[in-house]
Amino acid sequence: MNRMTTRRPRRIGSALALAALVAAWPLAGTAKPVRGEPATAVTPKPTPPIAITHRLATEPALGQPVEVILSIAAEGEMTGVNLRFDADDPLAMIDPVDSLGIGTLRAGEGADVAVTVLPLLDRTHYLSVTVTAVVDGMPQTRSIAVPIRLPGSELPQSDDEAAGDAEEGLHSFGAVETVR
Amino acid sequence: MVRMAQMKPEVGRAVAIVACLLVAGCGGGGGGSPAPAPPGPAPAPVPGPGQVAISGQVTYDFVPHWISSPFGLDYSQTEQRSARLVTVEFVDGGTVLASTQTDVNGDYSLIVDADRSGFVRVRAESVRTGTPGWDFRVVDNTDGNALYTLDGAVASSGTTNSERDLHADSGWTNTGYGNERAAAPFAILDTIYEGAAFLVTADPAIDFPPLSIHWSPDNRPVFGADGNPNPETGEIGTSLYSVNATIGTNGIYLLGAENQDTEEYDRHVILHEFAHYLEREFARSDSIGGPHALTDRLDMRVAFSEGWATAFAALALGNPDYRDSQGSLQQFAFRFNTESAGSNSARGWYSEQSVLELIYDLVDSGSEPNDGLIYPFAGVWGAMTGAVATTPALTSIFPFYDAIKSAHPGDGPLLDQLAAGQSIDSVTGDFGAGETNDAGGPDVVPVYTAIAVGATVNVCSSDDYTSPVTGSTNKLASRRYLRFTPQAAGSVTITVRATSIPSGEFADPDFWIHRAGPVAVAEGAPTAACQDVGGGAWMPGDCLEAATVSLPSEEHVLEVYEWTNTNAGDDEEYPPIGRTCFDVTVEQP
Repeated sequence: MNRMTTRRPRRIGSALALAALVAAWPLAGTAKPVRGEPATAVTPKPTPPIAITHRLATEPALGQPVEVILSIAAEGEMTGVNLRFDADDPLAMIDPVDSLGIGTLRAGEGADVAVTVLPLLDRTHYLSVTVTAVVDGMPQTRSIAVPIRLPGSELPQSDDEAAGDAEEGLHSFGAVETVR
Repeated sequence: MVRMAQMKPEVGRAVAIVACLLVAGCGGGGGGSPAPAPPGPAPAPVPGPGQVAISGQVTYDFVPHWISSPFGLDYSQTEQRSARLVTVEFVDGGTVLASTQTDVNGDYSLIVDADRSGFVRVRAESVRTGTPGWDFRVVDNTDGNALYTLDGAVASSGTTNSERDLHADSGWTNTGYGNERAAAPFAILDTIYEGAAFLVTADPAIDFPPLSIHWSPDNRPVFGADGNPNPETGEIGTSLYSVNATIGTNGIYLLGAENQDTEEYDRHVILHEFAHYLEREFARSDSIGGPHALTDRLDMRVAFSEGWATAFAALALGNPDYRDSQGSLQQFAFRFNTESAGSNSARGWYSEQSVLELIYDLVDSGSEPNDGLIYPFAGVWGAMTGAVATTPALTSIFPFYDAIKSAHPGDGPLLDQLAAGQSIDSVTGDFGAGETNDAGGPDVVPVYTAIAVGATVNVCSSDDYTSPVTGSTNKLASRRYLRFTPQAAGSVTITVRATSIPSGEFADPDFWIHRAGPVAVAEGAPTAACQDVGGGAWMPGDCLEAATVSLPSEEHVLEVYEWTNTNAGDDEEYPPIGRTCFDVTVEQP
């Protein structure tokens, strides 16, 4: 069994303390098991061979910085580990960084990365994190999104509106049309 | 408590398969036997007096993957592909004046009244009645499951025949999706069509139940606040197949969030989920689902279901190079080769990689070591819809492979050699009797423990195979399997009593009863006496689960587990407690 034996905290953004871990979320990609339910509920696609979890250091609040702690773990050796960040507008990253190189993680090792974001609207925001690494000799990628949920905020609704036929419900796109 | 359970360089080959479907006398691409030719749309009708023909071609943008690093989507190579067998209408306001379907070239022809105002609408649906038949639709789960359409401009039908070509643009504007992603629903639908067409070669009379594929640019790799997929908000967690009224899912759900994870051009991902639909509708799956990775040692039901799904995708596309584009600008990818996915040591009957390679190798024409077999896909499909669907055992590689071996008795040594290449023993029967691959643990084999009525056996549940990538909810040895047959139809009392619990913990034994599908579940919470670990009189045996159910005198499978060992490792209330053993008894009056 591989266990994370080494944690190497890394930090970018503001210098909030890492100790105040007040929130924890399920492993990314894990649906909540339902007791007594036939467990054919969710059959997802294969998960890339990169372990990444996330936590928020504080409960998100409008206009208040919130630190996102990302934990990367290596089941086998991973080289060239790199993180890229995309903050959905209007989520702002404090001391923004496009990417961060971690280098090599040997089997069982882990690394923590902290970034600080600033929610600017009373809604759920998303921080996209893309981890790339060479695993078992192959370049691999795992992308996750970290939800920043403000208490009581509405979940985001689609910006797209169904057009046309109200009875059936259609979502219409415009065609590139060539008439001859 | 007891309650009854309610019950991707693939283009050339793909085009060849579809062309075969529409040409009488063409042989089956993967099935070996000639496939009847399902007719395409009727020949273009001739306009009558006062009518005109509006014809044209429907196309969509397809974005291929980079051939080399970074392996994700390569927008510079975007190509136009035909939207095959999709519904095309001429619409005036809310009234459909004429309807038809594109052919395999994306061509259509509509007859409408002359001088009639209207527009051409392409619906993201493919409907075919007859044999084979299907009804596939791509809808927006964040917009009331509205059907995606592609609409042309309003114009007069004129007084002479005319041509209107409609194209669905990817929406890519060099640095992002600056325009609406009209191509996505049609790219998804075309991949589904390709999977269906492949299956028709193996099962020409197949009638597919209706399937909705849900996609939205707001479908994100984040689960809802309650930890489950939330189709309405787009927080679906991952791309998945699910039919579950409790969480409001019904079909395939595909990610679409830009810079996070999009699937419209990830054909293996789409057909992986399509294969789960096929498995549910035509075969049987006892899989408990959940996150999974190639290197995992999984519950055997999960391993088989996921291995089947990936193998089907690769076979249908004729392409073993699985690609799942992800991340910034969709430029990166998770990838593996279904013929040889690296130095993964997690091989065996509990490995999705072993299952997918085994199924793929049965059909492909590869020449890897141990792979000297080429069977028609129809044989694989026959095992899925036959033995796997009806086995009294749980769905796993064992009933599938036993069916394949039974169908090819002369190939026994070659089939055993192929299985041995995946560290699966040359066992026969649906229950894997005699399998010795124990994954290095004490609680893995036998795969099933036989238990006679009136007897007691001891089995242990563990969380030894928790994965740092995919967690602990569906891994090997958390759930243990027993098989029993009541001596007579009637009441059967099952008791699962803890005998060994990690120090300082209390146990929560639970069980399911299966008979070619789930029959009953006993998942009571631990009693106060069980939870009183520090009490002077406390014994492990205080923690038990018991239930009496009425069963026929047929073979049943009993699934026994320590409940916490099926929870997530970071479960705040009840994380896995580790190796816990139980005495199991089956009694009849």
